[in-house]
Amino acid sequence: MDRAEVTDLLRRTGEELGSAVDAAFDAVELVRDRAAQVLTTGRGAPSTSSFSALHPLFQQVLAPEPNPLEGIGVAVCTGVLADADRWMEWWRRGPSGRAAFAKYVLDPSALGFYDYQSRPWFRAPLEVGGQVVVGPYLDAGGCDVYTTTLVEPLLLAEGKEVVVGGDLDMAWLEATFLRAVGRRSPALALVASNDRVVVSNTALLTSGSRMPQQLKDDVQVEVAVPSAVPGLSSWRLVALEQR
Amino acid sequence: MSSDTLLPAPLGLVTGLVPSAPAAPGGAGGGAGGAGGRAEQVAAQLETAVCVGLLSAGTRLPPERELAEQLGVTVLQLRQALAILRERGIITTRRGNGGGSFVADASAVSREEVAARLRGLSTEWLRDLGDLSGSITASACRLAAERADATDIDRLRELATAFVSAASLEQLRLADSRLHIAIAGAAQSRRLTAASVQVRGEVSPLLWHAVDGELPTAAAVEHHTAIVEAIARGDADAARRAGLLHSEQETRHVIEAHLAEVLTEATSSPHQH
Repeated sequence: MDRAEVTDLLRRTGEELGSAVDAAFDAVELVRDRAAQVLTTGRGAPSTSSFSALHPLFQQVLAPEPNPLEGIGVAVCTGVLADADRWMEWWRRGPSGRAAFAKYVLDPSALGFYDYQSRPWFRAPLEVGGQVVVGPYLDAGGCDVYTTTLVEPLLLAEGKEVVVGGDLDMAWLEATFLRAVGRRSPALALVASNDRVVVSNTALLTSGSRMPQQLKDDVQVEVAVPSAVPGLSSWRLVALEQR
Repeated sequence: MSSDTLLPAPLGLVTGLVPSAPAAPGGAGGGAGGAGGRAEQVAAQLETAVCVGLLSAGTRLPPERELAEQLGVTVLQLRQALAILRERGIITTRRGNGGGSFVADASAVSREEVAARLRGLSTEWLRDLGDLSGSITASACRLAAERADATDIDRLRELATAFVSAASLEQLRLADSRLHIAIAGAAQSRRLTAASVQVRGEVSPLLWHAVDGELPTAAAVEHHTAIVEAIARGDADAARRAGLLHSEQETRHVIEAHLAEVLTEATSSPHQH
């Protein structure tokens, strides 16, 4: 492949990935709209049980296979719910493919407390005030999987905010990438802004590792993933020189 | 010729090495715990022992009461585990005189099964498994170089030779696992050996899968020699480095196999646009 062909391939791959992630965000939007209804109707502040109205939607979103998302849910800021300071109504697809409520340790005095309110995936959307892509990262203490989270904030009332998000299934992202590139050579990779490899078509650059300097020098073509969403817009596709 | 390990020792190694699997979030997919969960766990341990060659085809399992005690379960739980294994074709049970439960010759995994498994995993998952495998292998090689005696070294050389002369995919897989586990054994570490059994159980079915028509045999022969000779010389640092290099090469091969399988499927299935 010559340089022009590689550039064209990366550009097409970037477009496919960008639109695939955008499509995954549609499910998050769906939950956000429904959560806005559920959490603002009724008298007084909502409670942890208010989320039960969202359960069928979570199941419906996680049911199709293959699925860009392996988890979806809502996480609250302190002060939103009447009966809890912290709450994550998060559903995950289990090994059997069935979606189920994910239980987190939310008691700050407990061993293994998952302090989600301090995690980047929770803080970033509140700071940005809109859609953000966070990751990839290992959600240690949370669901303990390697994921990328698509998040956006939802303002319920003055000072009362929640975060709605979906966890990308990294195997799905990898399959989408490989389908788009369709080859194992030259070495191509999707890289996040911190130089961390998201997915690639070569065992030289594995997901989770960071681009070593000597390989950075071999970058032949670099194309940004076309997206307006912070996080995703800083991902780039690179092609390494064939050696 | 075959120096099959005695039964009680390897079974001891698989006992208690799988930490009770944490219940899936929200209890999804997992068994209801209790007897069913424990039986499933014991069945998985025995299956691993068969898969890595600790239990060879044709081996007769000890009487139920004895085996249950070795594995730390009740006879009832063991029976449930054996029923699961029978169903999966891992063991066969014969009644009457000379009867009992025998390891079936079911260790062969079809190329299609491995391909399907490789497609279903992600590079990240495989890299993560490789990270653990590399840590265990490197430590086992280092400690073996410090601790192995002449008998241990003879055994390692014997196993390395068995790998070189392996004539089938099946023999390669078993000989390779046995050598890796024996290195951890030569390190005189029960826990490293147990961890090695478990990790080889996960790695070996994926490793012996050709990519572009090639198996990682030549590299493995070379690396095994380097490891065993470093252990024989008592050169801990060289053994550790050789072990790490070997492990990294294995991980690369498995990841390339995964990428090749995903791509084969992606480009052969009719996909518009």
